[in-house]
Amino acid sequence: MNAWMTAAQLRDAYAKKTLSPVEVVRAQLDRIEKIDSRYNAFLHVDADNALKAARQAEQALLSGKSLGPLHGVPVGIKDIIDIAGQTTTCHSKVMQGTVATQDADCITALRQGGAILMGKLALHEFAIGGPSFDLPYPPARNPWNTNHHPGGSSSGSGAALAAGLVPLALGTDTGGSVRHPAAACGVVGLKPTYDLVSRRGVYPLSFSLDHVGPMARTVLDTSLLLEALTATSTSPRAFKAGPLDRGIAGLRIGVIRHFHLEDEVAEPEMAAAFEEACRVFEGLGAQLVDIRLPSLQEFSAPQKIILMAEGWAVHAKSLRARPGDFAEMSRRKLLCGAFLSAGDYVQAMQCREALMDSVDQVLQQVDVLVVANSMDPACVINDLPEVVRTYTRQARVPFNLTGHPALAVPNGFSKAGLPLSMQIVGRYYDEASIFRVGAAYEQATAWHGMHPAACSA
Amino acid sequence: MAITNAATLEAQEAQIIALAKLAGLDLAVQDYRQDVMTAARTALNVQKSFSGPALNTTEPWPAMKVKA
Repeated sequence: MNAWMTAAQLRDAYAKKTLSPVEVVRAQLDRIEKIDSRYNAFLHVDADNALKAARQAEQALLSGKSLGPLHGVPVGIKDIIDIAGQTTTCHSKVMQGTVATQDADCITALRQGGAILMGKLALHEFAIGGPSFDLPYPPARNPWNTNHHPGGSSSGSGAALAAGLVPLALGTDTGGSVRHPAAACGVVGLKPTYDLVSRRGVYPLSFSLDHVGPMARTVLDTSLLLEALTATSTSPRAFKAGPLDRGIAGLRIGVIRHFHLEDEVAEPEMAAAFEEACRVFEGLGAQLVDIRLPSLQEFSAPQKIILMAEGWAVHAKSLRARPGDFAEMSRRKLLCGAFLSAGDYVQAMQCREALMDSVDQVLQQVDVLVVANSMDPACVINDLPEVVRTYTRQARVPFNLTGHPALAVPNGFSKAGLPLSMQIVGRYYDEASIFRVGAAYEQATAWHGMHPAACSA
Repeated sequence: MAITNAATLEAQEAQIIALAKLAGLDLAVQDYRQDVMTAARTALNVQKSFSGPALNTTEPWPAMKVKA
């Protein structure tokens, strides 16, 4: 089995009986065993249960039964999501020994869809810290260069995909935590419409900003994972993945440049890759329209206040009783909420509606928006000032605040060989359009087919 | 001037410590004083950068509704 096979290719191979789920799961487990010590993507590999599920999937295939859209496809799970009988560590000492009694809704959905759960993936502590070295578990590393940050907080999810350890992974996104590792690791990540994927059973960071999101190496695979995640009664509507070969001729794409040219000036390589992507869209027949939204600062101030206040509400008890069990980076971030007032939080929520309307209004003029993602390629992982800076140099938070779906898609590489990325943003519940645009771009370019050279060993 | 700045800083630190203790963070103040200071200053900077809603009577999101 080729480690870079996509979920869609695995499904085809199973249908043709050229591969079996047991072969695939064994190959992925061997690969994890062989190379993950370089990347620390997995906190826990659930080999026994994965093989058991693979045997069941194989039996079902042999008897002509389909277990669902992800039948026999391995998936890695960010360790902030409950799997019954397993510890949800949240990559924290605080949670050690906390065994989940029930599956999270998204895990139930994956099981119903036939996916094989491979184990728990590393993250930033409680989805907020950073690549910390003062925790019981090491931080994940970027497979493109292990001296570099893999992005976060779903760092293990990004690293596992980029290293070919799994074809699919789950992340969560409160201020860009799916789209940041997707950008840093050169993979695809979706923050869906707010509430489209149930958050029940996912340890909260900030209730009104948290999203569960699918991650993969291609747009098609990301859409297949979203289909499985929403195919249950806990989702307000079911997303149906369809063929992504319609092209984008005639679509109107709104281009937001002020985020990365004025509000938070991007590295020239990022800006150049963004312009090149716009030329690709034009070449595919899309009509580009220049759009202005409120500034990044207008979005980020209320987003930060909401995140600080809600995060404090979740963690206050532990911060009071056992502050030493948090890593320094997360402690510093989570303590902020203690110094805000109730009025600050309410005022941030008052601003939210107007900001939601501002994005909604421009999406009445165009089909999707194209927006920068990270303003820089991934920084060095142990350069603390740069690591702190990387979380502010981005254009992801507006869509956590407004709840619009946003897809991170690789759009090039820096001169140093690190991935670059952009976002495609759509109307509420119109993930289909952003997948359509993302897939058209992917088919016109070669970025998604490039993999870290060190991972080929 | 340096004396004034130092005095201001000292007064601010005392205020932060008082606020932290009111929030029940005595342990954090004792063992991680620098983290408490950093967090408080980060929160203060965000507060300063936030101008609030254009209209103070705007209903916050999400609009309050009775449970169906």
